[in-house]
This record gives sequence, structure tokens and C-alpha cells, in this order.
Amino acid sequence: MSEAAATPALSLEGVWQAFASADGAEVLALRDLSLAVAQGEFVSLVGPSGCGKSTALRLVTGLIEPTRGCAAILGRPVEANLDRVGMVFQKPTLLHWLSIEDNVLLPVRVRRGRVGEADRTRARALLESTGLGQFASKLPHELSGGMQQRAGICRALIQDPDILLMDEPFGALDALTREQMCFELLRIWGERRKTIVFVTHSIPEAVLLSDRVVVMSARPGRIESIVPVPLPRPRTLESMALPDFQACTQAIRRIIYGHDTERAVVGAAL
Amino acid sequence: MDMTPSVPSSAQPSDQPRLLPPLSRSARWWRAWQGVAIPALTLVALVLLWEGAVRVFGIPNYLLPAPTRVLAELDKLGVRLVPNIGATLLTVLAGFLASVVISLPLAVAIASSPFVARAVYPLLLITQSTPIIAIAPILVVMLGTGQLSRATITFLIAFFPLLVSMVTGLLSTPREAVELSRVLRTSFLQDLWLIRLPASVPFVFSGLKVAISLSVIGAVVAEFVTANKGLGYLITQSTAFFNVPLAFGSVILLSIMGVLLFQSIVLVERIFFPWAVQSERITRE
Repeated sequence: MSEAAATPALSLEGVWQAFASADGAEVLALRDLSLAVAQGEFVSLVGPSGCGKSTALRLVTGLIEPTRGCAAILGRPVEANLDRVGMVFQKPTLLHWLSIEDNVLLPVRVRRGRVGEADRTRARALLESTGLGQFASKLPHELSGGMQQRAGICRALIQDPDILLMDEPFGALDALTREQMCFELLRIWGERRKTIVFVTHSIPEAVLLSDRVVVMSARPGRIESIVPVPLPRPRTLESMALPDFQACTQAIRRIIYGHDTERAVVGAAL
Repeated sequence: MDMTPSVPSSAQPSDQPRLLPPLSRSARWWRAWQGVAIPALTLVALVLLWEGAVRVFGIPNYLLPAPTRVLAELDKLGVRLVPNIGATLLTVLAGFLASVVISLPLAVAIASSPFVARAVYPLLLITQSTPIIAIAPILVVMLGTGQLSRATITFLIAFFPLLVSMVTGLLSTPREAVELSRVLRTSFLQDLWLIRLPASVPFVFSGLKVAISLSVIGAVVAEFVTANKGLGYLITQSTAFFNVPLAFGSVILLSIMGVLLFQSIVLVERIFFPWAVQSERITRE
């Protein structure tokens, strides 16, 4: 961390985001969103569908520009610091004609035009560390969904970015694989101390992983509340049994469903 | 966290009793070869039926010659068939290659720019709505009676389906792959070369398979209009003299040529793009 540690890894300041719908009407996706994520912090965005979680994430990948306000990476405009960011999608999005290793190396190939032996060694080490060592030369369809997503994470890590953006990365996985992947991600985060911004629909997942959970509300998307998670690190399966865990998930549910407890109970049961 | 994928194994674990009776040798042979054996046997049966019918009902040669008679007629020409087969093959390949070489950049242009797409599509539709056989004589006047006319006619007949599948392929890149490409900030050429072209390979190959079959048709049409040798030329000449067996022989040679060319495209796909064959199978499932 050469930059002053006080510089936030990511910041959104007074961001408004409007889209034109098909009939020309203006749709407000984000309303006056301000958020700063500290270096090394793990922050989750939760909220109902259409609350602009993914839009917020796309702002910091430079895929869209804020209509009003500004987005910054490590204190500089998004475009200037894009190579400090790695992105993980909801689907593994591996190119099915490339081996796992070549998929992981894709960002290197795009950035530098070619792939050296040192890059290959790095890719293999990454795959090794996520338990995919023996699958480096396999094609994506030969791997299970969880393994494919791990390869997707390796691809995001290959350039050793400071910031990892994850857009519902485990949303397409079954519940068991999903839990395993959470702990896998915590292990990676513990080893490498990246800044992670994690979009999810799952409240327990957000609480288990994060330092802070940003709760958003829909139409237009804005930050409803930011809930700090006081659970000790490293987090394990046992963390989920702690009273603080229950308190946090409950607090977040209450924010999302309002104070209407009846609805909250139904929501929790779902 | 044990996530090794299940590897289909034919070996029987030693501690597991065998429940099913072992397959007999002939059953195993049948399983391995039925894909070849069934069509081959059907073909042989049909040829025998044809031969038998011609002989039993005494059908005259100029209506339906027996397979043996067709073979005899081809045998009579012998080595003189070779330049005719060669001429047709040359026209087929020239038209086919022209289709590939012209369709690919055109498809990239259409897929990358809505402007080009809107400008070019109506023209393409006009060329496709015009019966090529109708403009073939005009082309001969314009381009002469040589190979160029024949290749052009073949190209005009073969290129359109190829172009359409290439465009479809380039536009059907999965949405997530497009997003990935944008996040990685690929250049136009990188996006094309690393992501969109490989993603379109299965489509390109189905287009190539249609195009090679149409090229054979195109070459025969061209030879009907202008040629002094070739299998299409043989057909017009032999029917003019009521040598129907030779016409049949030429048609059979054309079919064999078509099948072999089609199969060579299949082979190229299997050898160089095994993942494309794989992904076709996966999407079909």
C-alpha cells in the first residue's frame, strides 16, 4: 500500500444515474449515492432487485459513467486506475474454447498482447491455491459450476488487482457449493488483503463475509443504511452461530422489510 | 472440500459385484459400428432393389438405367472422366473459397456496424431474390466463357447462407462474454480475434456445410450455362444424345463429390475446433 492508507480504495460521491427507457422517459437508477470503501475492506451491497447494486458496481468498472457526481478508484478517476480492479461476474463467463489456464490468462493477453512463461507460472500458482491445479489444461465444460467460478475468480486475480468487484458471484451456484465458496473467498481475502465489493441477494452471505453491509432500497436506488459487522476474524462456520451474526442479519432484514414485523417473518422464512 | 469431477470409468471396481451379463463379441461389434453399418446396409439394399426392379420389369435404359449399366458407361469413359471431375471440382472450390474470403470481412462489417448492416442487407436480399440461373447468361456475356464466369455463378449461389450464419454467429456472442470483453477494455481487433470470432465458430461451420453443398449445385448450374468439360457439361451432352446411363453416372459422381466435400468440412471442424463440435452438442442438449 504505497498510497496513503487514508485514500479510499473506491469512492462514489453524490452519484445520480439516469437511464432513458425505450419510450424516452427518464428512469432514475441511483439517487444521490455516496460511499467510500477503505483499502483492504470487505463491503457487501444488499437490497431488493432493481435497487441499483449492479449499477453501482458497473460505475467503478467504468462500464457506465455517472450522470451526475463522480466515481474514483484510489483517489483517481476510474479510467486512470482501471488496471487496479478485477471483476467477477454472476456466471463464470469462461471462454469455452480456451483451457482453464488460458482463460485465467485472458486479461494478461488483452493488456500486453502476449503471455510469457512467468505469467503461466503465476496462473498455475493461482489455480493451485484454489485447488484447480490439476485442471489447468481442461476445458471449462469439464469442470463443475463451483470450479468454473473459482477459475473466474483466478482470472480476476491474475493481474494482482487491489480491488475485487464481485457481482453476485455465487448466485448461480447451489447452496452447498455457495457456502464452500464463501469460505474459499474469505481465505483468499485473508491471504491477499484485497479490497472487495460484493453484490449479493443473500443477507447471511453478506454478514458472514463483510466488514460493512450496505443496505440499498429500490426505485430509485439509494443507500438505506450501512450496517457494520462486529464479528471477529477469521470467520468460520461457528461465526454464524454467534449472537452478533443473528443480530446483524435481523437488523438488515428489518431495514429491508421495514418495521412491519409480520412481513419480516414471512421474508425470513422464504 | 472434495470437488473432483466424476470420471466415467469402464473399469469395474474389484469389490463391486458384476450385476449385468457381459456383452457378447457380436453385440460389442454392433455397438461400435452401427453408425456406419445401418446407412451402408440401407444403401446397398436400395441399389439391389433398383437393379432388381429394372431387370424384372424390363425398364428401358433411357427411362431408368440399371446401376450395373451406369457403371459400365462410366467405365467406358475411364480416364477421360478425370479432367471432367477435375474441372467441376475446380469450379466448386473456386466458388466456395470466394464465398469464404468475401463473406468473412463482410460479416464482420455487418456485425460491427448497424450502419453497414442497414446499407448492405437490402442489396444482399436483392441478389438472393434474383434467380441466379436467370442472370447466369448475362454474367457469361460480361465475364466471358471462362472459369471466372463459372466461379462467379457458384459464388453467387453459395455465399449468402454462409454470410448469414457468420453474422448470426458474431452477433450471438453471449452477453456475459461481451461484458467481459468491455471490462477488459479489449481493442476492436482483440475483441474480434479473442472473443467474437471463436464464439462464432460453430455457426461458421454450419454455414460452411451449407455453402459447400450449394457450391456443388452452383458449379453444375454454371456448367449448364457455359463449359466445355465438367460433370455438369457431361450431363447436358449425354442427355442431348439420350445417353441416360452416362447422365446418371455423372449425377452419382456429383453426389459422391458433394458428400466427400461435406465430410471434409466436418473433419476440419473435428480436428481443428473440437470444442465447437462439443459446444454444438451441449447446446443441442
